[in-house]
Amino acid sequence: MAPIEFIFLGARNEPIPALIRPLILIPDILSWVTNWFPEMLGLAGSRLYEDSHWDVPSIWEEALGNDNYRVIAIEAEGIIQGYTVVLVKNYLGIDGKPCAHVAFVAVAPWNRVVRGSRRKIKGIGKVLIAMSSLLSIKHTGSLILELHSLPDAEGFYHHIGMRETGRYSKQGLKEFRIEKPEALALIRPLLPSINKKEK
Amino acid sequence: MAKLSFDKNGLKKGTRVISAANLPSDLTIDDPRAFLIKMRSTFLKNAREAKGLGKEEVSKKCKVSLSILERVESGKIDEQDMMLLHALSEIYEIDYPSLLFLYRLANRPDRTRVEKLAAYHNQDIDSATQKELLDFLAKLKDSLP
Repeated sequence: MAPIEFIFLGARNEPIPALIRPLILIPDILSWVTNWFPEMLGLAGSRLYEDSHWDVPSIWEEALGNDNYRVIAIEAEGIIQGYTVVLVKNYLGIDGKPCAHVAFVAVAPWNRVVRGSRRKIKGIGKVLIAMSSLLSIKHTGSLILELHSLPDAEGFYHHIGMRETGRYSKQGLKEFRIEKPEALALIRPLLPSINKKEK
Repeated sequence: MAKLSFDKNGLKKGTRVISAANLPSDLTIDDPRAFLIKMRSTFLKNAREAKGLGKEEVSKKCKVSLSILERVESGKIDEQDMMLLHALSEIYEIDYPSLLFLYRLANRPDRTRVEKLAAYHNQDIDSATQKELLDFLAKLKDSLP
């Protein structure tokens, strides 16, 4: 995947240029450990977020070493602002047809709430799902995505047009699915940037 | 073409599948401090290997002995190694200030107990100690101008 230049908006609607690109393991691990990691934890290592226990460097390393997965990162202001790990092969959706499964998706702590530590960038999560859908069509021929949501993220998935399938993971995480029309609505804002790149 | 075989979740059999709903214990952080120490002692080695470089090659490029490179790779960094760290960051194309910050984070003294007390989350302290601490804090507050 060729990197895509995209303009996000900050908390005051100021433009923030960013690069949507495949993960570059070593520099991105360093970016995650030195920027995200200290903000994921509170005093004495207490976990501030539901995904604070994810060993993200090891997850990335394993995913990059497995051809079934693709990892995309969004970089802005020299820092990783979000990432998505997508299972693009050997997965069947609830209808029994091939589609992609979003294994992990996360945005930086300062992009979830205004923390004051860094400038909040809006829309990172939406673009990550849109990019996951583009990966899905490339590898499975379908824009459809499925994922299991952490409880605090369920509102976000409803907001972007995903629907509950009614199934749960063993840990009780709800399964969500995005169909073609909703996926297209997410992808549409990216198209000018993708077309610009192709020209 | 080989016919793929799927399990009941639609996944190819024999593939380790990782996801938010299926996170193996080796992909979780149990102890943040231990995680940082592990990062400190493996990061530079991983960075070198990712570039496909051998220790000898890198030590020659940086004009340091193999033993110094090995010591730094295992996370034992001191003041005199900063130049080497800078040289390594250029060879491996990684951000030098972030690399320094990684070591600063990992070398930070363990303040877990103090922080737990401050957060008043320590389940180990008994009620008498809690009262003693509160009295101490009250006196401290009173003594402030």
